[in-house]
Amino acid sequence: MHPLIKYVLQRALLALLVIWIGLTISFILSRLMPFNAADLFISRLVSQGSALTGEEIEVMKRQLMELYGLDKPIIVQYLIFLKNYMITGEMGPSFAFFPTSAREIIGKALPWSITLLLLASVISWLVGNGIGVLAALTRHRKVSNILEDVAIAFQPIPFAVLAVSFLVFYALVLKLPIPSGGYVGGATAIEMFIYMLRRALFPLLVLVVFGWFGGFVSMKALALKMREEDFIVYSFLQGAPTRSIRLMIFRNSILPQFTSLVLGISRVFVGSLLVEYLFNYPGIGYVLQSAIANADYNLMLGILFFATVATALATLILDLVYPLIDPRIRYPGQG
Amino acid sequence: MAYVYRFKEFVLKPSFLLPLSIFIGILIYSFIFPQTIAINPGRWYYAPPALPPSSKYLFGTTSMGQDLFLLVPLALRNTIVISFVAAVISVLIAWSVGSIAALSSSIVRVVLLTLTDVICVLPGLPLLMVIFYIWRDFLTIPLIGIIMGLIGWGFPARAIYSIISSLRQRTFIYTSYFSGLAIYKIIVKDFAPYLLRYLMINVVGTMTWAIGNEVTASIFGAMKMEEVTIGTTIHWAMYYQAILLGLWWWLAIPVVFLVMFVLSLYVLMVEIDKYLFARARVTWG
Repeated sequence: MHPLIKYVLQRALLALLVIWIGLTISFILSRLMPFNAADLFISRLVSQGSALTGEEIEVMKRQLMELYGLDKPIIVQYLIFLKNYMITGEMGPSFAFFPTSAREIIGKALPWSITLLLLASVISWLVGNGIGVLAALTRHRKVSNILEDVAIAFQPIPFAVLAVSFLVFYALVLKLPIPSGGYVGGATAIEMFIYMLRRALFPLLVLVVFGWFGGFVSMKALALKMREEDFIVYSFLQGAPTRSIRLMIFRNSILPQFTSLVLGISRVFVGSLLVEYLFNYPGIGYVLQSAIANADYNLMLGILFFATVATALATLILDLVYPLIDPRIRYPGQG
Repeated sequence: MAYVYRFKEFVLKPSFLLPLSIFIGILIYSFIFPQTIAINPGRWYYAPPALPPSSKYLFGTTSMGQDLFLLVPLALRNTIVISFVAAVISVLIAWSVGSIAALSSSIVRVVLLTLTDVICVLPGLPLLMVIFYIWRDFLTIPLIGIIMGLIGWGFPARAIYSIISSLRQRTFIYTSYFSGLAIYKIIVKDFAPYLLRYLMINVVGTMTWAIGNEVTASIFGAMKMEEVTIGTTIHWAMYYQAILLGLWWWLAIPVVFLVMFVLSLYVLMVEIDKYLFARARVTWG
C-alpha cells in the first residue's frame, strides 16, 4: 500500500476511534443516569398540564422506548444507540422542544456557531501573529515589551472570568444593551447573513480581544529566534531590502502557528459556548444552556456528540494538511 | 535575563515576595477565615439585600441578603479545593501513563499513546457539563475535582511522555549509567531536577484549567448549584439579574479574587521555575 494512503487511513481510524469512544461514553452516561429520562420527561409533560391525551402519551412512551430500545438487553441497546447516532443520525426528540428532534435544533444553531468561531479564530490568529512579528522586529522595544507583559499577564486567567468581566464592563460601563431574540424567519440568505454578522459583533469582539495573547507570545518568541537564523543573517548581509527580510521571517515563523489556528477552529463547541450564552447569540452554547435549564438530556448528549465529531474532524484535517503547509514535514515513507 | 542562584537572594526578591504574600493572604482569607464565621454564609437574608460596598459590609451584599465578605472566602476555598484535587489526580494519571509509555515495550506504548490521543481530542468541557448535570445530586466538592482530573490528563501525559523519552537518551544519563550509578540515584539526581519543573508547570496549568471549567460549567448551571463556588456565585448573580440591577460588586468581587489567586499562583510558578532552571543549569548543564 502507498505509505500516504496508509497514513491517511491511520489518521482516519483514529478519528473514528475517538468518535466511537465519545459515543460509548455518551451511552454509558445515558444508561447510568440516576433516573429514567423517558419517565421524567413524560411526568413533566403531564405536570405541566399539557393537553396530551392518555393515548398520545402512550404513543410517545412507546416511541421513546423504541428509540432507546429500553426493553432489549443492554448489548442490543448499545448497538441501537450506535446505529442511531452514526448511521441514521437520529438522536431522538428534544425533551424541551418536543416534538422537534435534537438534531434539528442543533442543525439550526450550527451555522451561527460556525460563523462566529471561524471569524473569531481567524481574526484573533491574524491579529496575534501580526502583532507578534511586528513586536519582534520593531525598534520600539518598550512598546513591544509592555504588550508582551500584558499578554503574559492575561494568558493564565481562565477565559470564563475574562468573558464575565467583559460583560460587566459592557453592560455597566458602556451601558450597551445585550441583544436578544433568536432566528429571523423568511428573510433571504444575504439578509440573514448580515443579521448574523450584526449579532456576532460583540461576541466576536470578546473572543478576539481575549484571544490573541497566545498567538502573540509564541509568535514573538519564534520571530526573535528566526531573526538569528543563518539564512536571515545571510540575506541581510547580502543587502536584501528590509521588507523582504521581514516577509521571510514572517513566512518562516508562521508555520508552527498553523496548529493553533486549526485547533482554534476545532473549539467550535467549546471556546465560544460561554460567549454565546452571555451575549444571547443563538449558537450551540445558547442551545446547551437551554438544554441544561430544561433538563433536556437528549439534546445535551446530541451536543456532546457533535462536539466530539467536530474536534475529531479538526484534528484529522490538521494531521492531513500539516505536511502541505510545512514542506519540512513529510508523510511517513514519503521521500 | 538575570538568574539568581542563591536561595536566600531568590526568596527576598520582590518579584517573588509580592505574589507570595498575595497568595498566602488569599489562602488565609479563604481557608482560615471561614472557620471563624459562626453562620453559614451561603444562607439567605442574614444581611440586608443589595447593599453596595460600605464600611459595615466591606464587599457589599447580594440581593439574596448574603454578605459577600463572608461568602467570597467560602466560594474561593471550594474552587481552590476543586482545582487542586483535579490537578493532583490528573498529574498522577498523566505521569504514570506518560512514564510507562516512555519506558515500556512498543505494544504497551502504542496502546497508551492512542488512549492519550483519544483523551486529548475528547471535548472536555461539554463532557464535564453533562456529567456534572446528570449527577449533580451526588456531587461533593472533592468529587468534582476528581472527575475533572479523570478527564484532563491528556495533554500533560503527552508532554511527560516526550520529556522522558528524550531525557533517557541524553548523554549525561548515559554517562551516569555507564559510570555505574545506581538506578535510584540516576532517578533522584538526574531525572528529578528536570521533571520537578514540569511537575510544577503541570500542577499550575491543570489548576487554572480546572478553575476555568468549574466557572464555565457553573455559569451554565451544570453543577451542584447549592455549593458555594466562584462559578455558582457568578451564576446566581446573573440569574438574579445583577447586571441589569447594577449590582456590579456581586460579580466583580469574586472575579477579582479569582484573578488575584490565579495570577499570584502563576507568577510564583514562573519565579520558582526560573530559580530551579538556573540551579539545574549550573549543576548539570
